[in-house]
Amino acid sequence: MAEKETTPVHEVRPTTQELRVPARFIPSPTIEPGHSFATITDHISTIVLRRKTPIGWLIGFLISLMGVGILTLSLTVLVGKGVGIWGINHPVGWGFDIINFVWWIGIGHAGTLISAILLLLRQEWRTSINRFAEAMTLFAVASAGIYPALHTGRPWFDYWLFPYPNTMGLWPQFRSPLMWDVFAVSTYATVSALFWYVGLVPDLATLRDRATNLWVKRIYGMFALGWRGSAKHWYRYEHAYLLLAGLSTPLVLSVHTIVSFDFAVAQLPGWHATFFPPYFVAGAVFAGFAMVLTLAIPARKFFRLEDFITMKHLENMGKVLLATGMIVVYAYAMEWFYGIYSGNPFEIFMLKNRATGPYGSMYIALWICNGLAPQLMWFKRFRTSTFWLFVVAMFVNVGMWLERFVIIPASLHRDFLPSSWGMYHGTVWDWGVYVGSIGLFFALLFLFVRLLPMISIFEMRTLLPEAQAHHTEGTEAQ
Amino acid sequence: MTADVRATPPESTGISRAQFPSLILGIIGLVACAIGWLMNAQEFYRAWLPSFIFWFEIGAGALAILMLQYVTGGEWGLMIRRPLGAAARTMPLLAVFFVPVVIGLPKIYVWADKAVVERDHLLQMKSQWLNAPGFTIRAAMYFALWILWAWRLRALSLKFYEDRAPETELKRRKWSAAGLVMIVLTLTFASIDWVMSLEPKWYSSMFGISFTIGCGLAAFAYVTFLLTQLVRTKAMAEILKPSHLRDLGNLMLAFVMLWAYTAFSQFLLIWYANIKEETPYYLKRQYGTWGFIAIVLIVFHFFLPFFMLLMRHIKDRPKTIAIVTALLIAMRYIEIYWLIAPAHQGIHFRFSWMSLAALVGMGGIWFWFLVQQLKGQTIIPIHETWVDEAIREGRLKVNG
Repeated sequence: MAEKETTPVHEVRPTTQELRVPARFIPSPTIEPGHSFATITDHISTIVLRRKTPIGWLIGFLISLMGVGILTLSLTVLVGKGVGIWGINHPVGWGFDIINFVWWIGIGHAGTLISAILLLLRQEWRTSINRFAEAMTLFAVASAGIYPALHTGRPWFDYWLFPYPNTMGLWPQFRSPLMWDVFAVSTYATVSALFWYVGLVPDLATLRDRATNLWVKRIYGMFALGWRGSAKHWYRYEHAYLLLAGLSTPLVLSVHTIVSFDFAVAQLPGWHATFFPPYFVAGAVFAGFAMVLTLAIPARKFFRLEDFITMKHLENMGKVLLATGMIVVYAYAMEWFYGIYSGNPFEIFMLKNRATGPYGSMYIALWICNGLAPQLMWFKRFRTSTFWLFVVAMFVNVGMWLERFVIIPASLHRDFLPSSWGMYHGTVWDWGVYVGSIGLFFALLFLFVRLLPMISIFEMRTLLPEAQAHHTEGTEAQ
Repeated sequence: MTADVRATPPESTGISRAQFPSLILGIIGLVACAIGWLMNAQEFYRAWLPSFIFWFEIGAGALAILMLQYVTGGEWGLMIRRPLGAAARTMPLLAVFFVPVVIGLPKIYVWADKAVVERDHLLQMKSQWLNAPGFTIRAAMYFALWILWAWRLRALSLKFYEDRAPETELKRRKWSAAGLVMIVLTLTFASIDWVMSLEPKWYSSMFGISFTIGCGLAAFAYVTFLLTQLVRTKAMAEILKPSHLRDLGNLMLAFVMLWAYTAFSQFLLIWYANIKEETPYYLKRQYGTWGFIAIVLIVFHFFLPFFMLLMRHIKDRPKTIAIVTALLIAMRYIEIYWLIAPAHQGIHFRFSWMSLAALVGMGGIWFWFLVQQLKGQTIIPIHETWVDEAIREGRLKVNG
């Protein structure tokens, strides 16, 4: 009946199919063609089950273990001697410990964003990177947790941070954002771990079913919690997963918002800025996506996962990097505007000191790393090149560390009274803990890629065209 | 109304019938404003500003959301591109409405009062940024940029309608991406110039962000409200689905939360640090009628719409979501008034009849102009590639 006397407007014009569309306008797929349910399962699960431990993996793991060794040593000395072995003193009481805490927590945020927020936004491309990114979140939070726990000076009393009834008349200061941090970060770690584990259950069952060694079978079976893939299981699973995604979403915002409060509630120039909360959240996502790229690009090559982590994923991550990077640059630039606009001599001095003071070179490096380098992502040529993506991601990793350095010690070291000025340098033990926490992070990641499927097998299968058709046969347990 | 329904000519939405009454209403409002100006020029200028900002937010927010839609290309924009584009193209009219602000500068902004500045060292320092020529030149620049982008996107959309070339679509996306950077920066500075500088010694780096989010929220509320009204007409009745409204409801929910997030963070940080440069701003707005309005904002600008927008059966039905959008539009005005008026009135609340006259006067003309922009095109962009796809796949039904 559309053919009557008038043709609808939308049929008068040629459709895109009739036009010759240049190749660069054809979007790259979320999964390369030629895969079936079986090849996906095979490809991902063999990395864990069948393949011999690659020599490259062993070398990488050993190097990371050396890092863990450095961490153990540094922490042992720290607990023995106290935080005096670190570079912190008056006037800089917060140094590497807080910088690294914020750096790691920020990195963790991309995992939650990818797995929860992109799920709620129905972004299909999240599927092949979410497992990996969530694992990264957990390990980053673990590395982050080291710092505040030991910065208290007497870590064996850390349980005093929790409000529990006791005879000492001890009660935490609930008005302090540092207390809010305790609750925010521990909630975040718990929900992230649950979210990751719940998402793993169907795949653990797959590994259980495919394992040949009896003990391997039993161990995976234990963690698969008796998953049989029945309709009821899937129904419960989908519900639980969606609920956890909903729970994680506000946590992405809350954790770094509260971290920003640690600084912004103070009166110190360089710390007290009302736009810190969104600026920190954007910076966290920025840092996190850079770290996902840093890890995904080599992993994809090493384990031959190019079919699953396609150029589309990398390009999209490049775009997120650009968008969040622009927010961060907005903050850097507006800091100058508001500082000068305020007419406050202390604010203006802080800005001058930042750019030309003793830590000026770090501030300029910060602009190059976080301001300049991500601008390459405006161009498709760079966004679709693994080499350039990796280079930009590395710049951002460094830049985000510098940003925290510029905010924390560089603001603290020269405040209102010149008589109380001082300098801050990390000692060898500061660096020891930092290098050690990187070692811990990578050691955990190496274990993860060896022992668990780094890409969600069952979710990848839903991306196939077969999954869209309405087959009548039930879902197999696999 | 014998035109082809399938092509959904704009007349069939019936929106043009509201055009003439709206124009009359606008003229009456502006005449009342003119009388008010003759009676008390200062009161007129001060009443004009919040009403101007209210209508401006919708236009500017529409331009920003339109560009966001062109960059991300989500299906949520299916129904709203045209109304957004039309609202964005009201920018020249809004530039005209800005003229009284420029003329009444010394009456509105204390930093433009030479006698006050002479006695104040800080204001003298700040006069490098806060001075009448600078203010005017910057405002002209902002408007030029907004008009340029609104016009450019329009031209590219029309070109795409002709040639259907992916290159054109890409070009539009690139303009939009650059435009997002442009609009966030210009809105930040516009908010500093036009609103924050009313209390020239006070500053908050969250202000520009909060203002920009307010614009986005106002635009979403406007466009969703418009859709709920159009759904009663033949042109839209069968096209608009609950899922379209739900998507918009979810985005509005996100903006409501973002608004609350920025507003609350700003308040908390200022309350907590308790610095004498910053706290007077909230002290003024926290007692008496202003304090009551602050509570109204917390309840009706955040909690009520938040819980309403969580519920699917409210989001899906045009009648119920219309209530939420109307509430949000009203709250936008109240917030703007709460941000601006205490700068002039201090702790004493007053609402001049001229504020209402300006609101109605500008609104009437603005709506007339908006419909003018909506005319001569289909209310949904049916020529766009992805609309073709949606029609072919049966996700979108076209009448006929």
